[in-house]
Amino acid sequence: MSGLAPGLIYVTDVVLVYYLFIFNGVYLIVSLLAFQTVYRHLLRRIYGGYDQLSRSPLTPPISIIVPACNEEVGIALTINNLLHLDYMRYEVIVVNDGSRDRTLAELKQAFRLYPEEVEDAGRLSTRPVRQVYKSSTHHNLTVVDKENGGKSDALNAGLNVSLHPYFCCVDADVILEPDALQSVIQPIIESDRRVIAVGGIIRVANGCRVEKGRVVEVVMSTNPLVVFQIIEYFRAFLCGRTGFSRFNALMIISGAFGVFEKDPILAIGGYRPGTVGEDMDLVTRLHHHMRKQGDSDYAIKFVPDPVCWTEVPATLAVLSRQRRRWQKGCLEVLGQHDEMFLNPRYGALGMFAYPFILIFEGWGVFIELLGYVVFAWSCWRGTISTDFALAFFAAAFLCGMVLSLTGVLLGEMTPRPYPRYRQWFALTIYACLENFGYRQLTSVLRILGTWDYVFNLGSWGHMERQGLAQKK
Amino acid sequence: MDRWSGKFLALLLKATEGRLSLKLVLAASLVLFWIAFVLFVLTILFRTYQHLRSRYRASRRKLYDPAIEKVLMEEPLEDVIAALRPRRWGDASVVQEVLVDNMRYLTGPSFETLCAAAQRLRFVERSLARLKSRSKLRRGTAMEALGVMRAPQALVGIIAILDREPMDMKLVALRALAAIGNPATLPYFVKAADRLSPAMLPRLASLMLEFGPAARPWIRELINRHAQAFPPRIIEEILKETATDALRGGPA
Repeated sequence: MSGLAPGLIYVTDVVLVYYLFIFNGVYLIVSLLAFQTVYRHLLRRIYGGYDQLSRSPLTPPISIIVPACNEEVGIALTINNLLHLDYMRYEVIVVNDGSRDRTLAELKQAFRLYPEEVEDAGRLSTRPVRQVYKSSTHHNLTVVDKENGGKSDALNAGLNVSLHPYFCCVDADVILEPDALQSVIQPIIESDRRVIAVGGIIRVANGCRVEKGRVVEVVMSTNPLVVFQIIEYFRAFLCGRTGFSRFNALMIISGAFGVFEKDPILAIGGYRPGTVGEDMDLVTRLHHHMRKQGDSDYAIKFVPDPVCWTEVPATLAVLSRQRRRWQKGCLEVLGQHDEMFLNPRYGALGMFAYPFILIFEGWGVFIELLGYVVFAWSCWRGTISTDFALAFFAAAFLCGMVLSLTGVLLGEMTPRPYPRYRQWFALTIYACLENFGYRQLTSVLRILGTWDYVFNLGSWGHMERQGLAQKK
Repeated sequence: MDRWSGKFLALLLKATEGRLSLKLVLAASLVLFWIAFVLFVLTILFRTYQHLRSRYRASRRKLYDPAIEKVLMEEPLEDVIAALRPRRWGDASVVQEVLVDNMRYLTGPSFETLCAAAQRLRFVERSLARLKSRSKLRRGTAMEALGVMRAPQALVGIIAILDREPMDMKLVALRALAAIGNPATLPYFVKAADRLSPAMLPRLASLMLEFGPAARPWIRELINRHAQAFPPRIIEEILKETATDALRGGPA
């Protein structure tokens, strides 16, 4: 048996080396495509006529659905921000998902709500709706008060009362850019194909100067944990999602902001209650539904425009809960759609995106962990030379750094970058430091998330917020 | 077991000897180092270029902004032209930007004055020449500017673009034609509809509405030809818009 161990170690070494290069190589290629997409999109912005889009009465109207559970801090300002977007016709539907705090009271007071009769229960079954309110100050504001049933259930309740053919799901703690709806509706209107869903870049708002529900100055937080997440967001949205959307292989549109065509969503039964990763689940089911219908001429797109700002976890405890939830949600969705794996019927999604996400983002964390253990053990036992170990770690470090720097550069190209050189330099430094500690930390959190998935532990958890909208 | 694993190990060592991976790792590290370096330098260059360019253009814009005040104060055209005349090489694009940005929001005599200034300062000619540029950005911005400046002499050039450009440029061209507002171009909208996706036809109808009452028969034809692209909601909106036009006093 003693002879087998070095063999296994060699196999593991080779697997790790190829894992590292395949994962980062694919990501780099996707990032290169993202460069092209971002560049083209920026040109389009110059002569795109967005202002005309917002003025035209024929631009599709949108229902904005905001699920809110215990969001008394800043809910009024967030909704006020949503009611002042630069778009011709839209409605805002706030779903109070059984809040135990003053969320509903705040809304009633701020928007002078009055009760309204609802005759039609809607197509999607949800937890009982207590009351629907309309605003006497804003004709396009509706508030649905219902019993607690989770985010998916709240979104379904919002869908039931929505009037428009497209809807936009928005978290109650985000700040939308005034032209967010124009940005995301543009691919729906101007694409050759039927676009059934569109996502955009979510930016980190921690540290930014917020006034009257708008981000007026982009400032970087001084909390290292937040800065690491800024880099992660740039990398994920600008390298990953922008690149994947080129092949119509996008598997997730962030739950914080996304626009969807309502009909296919109703056809798949809306959001699935009880799911942890409801955003990824919805998009994956949409792909599944469209392919099952034999309709491969649809698109799910991503626009590299910053559309909304969100507060990211500023403490380790909250980050831990969030990442475990993300990992659990990701594995749940991947498990439920395993028929997509290497299935040519799903096109690039089945042949490329699903296997990539399954291997590298779903379960790849164990290969990473195995790498750390095997390398440590091999170095200790002397089965691999020190020069190889050092070279491997240098390569791993450089791979991570290149991807992060690509994200930072793409972030510079998109509107509203960090204005000061000092901030950009800090981002670059953090992009290097990320590989020493933060990456390993997220790997551990992902392993814990996998544990939660395997043993069906954990739930949504609560994200403590400072109340973005009230920051001055 | 030991014998089997020994053979396996020997085979593996022969295949890789640990060296293949090492070579790969070293080569990749070297390449990655240079990529990281290039990305770092590129970001600095991009950032510096953007920063300097926007600062320079803002400072140059300040020189020409007073011309708009002259327009609003209804000062003579010659004074406006003198205030808008480019003072340095490279200023033409800044002046055009000032003109176009303000023309989007001005109406009546102020708009007419800026139109006349754009003609006299040869910005229309400049944009017409750019319609033939190899750069898509230049062609796009030129069409946009010609639309805002309502330059009738651009019609031929823009219509030509409708035939050969991809979808996004076609839409820019159609928008420019709608902004110029010559009803003679309406048949081109209906013709362009044959090559557009159904999802884009309501957008096309929306552009045609900008022509006012003259567009009604053409919108009707567009809807008749592509009925499947116009759900009742859109038809309702079009009816509302055309009714609003009629209430504004346009011919029935």
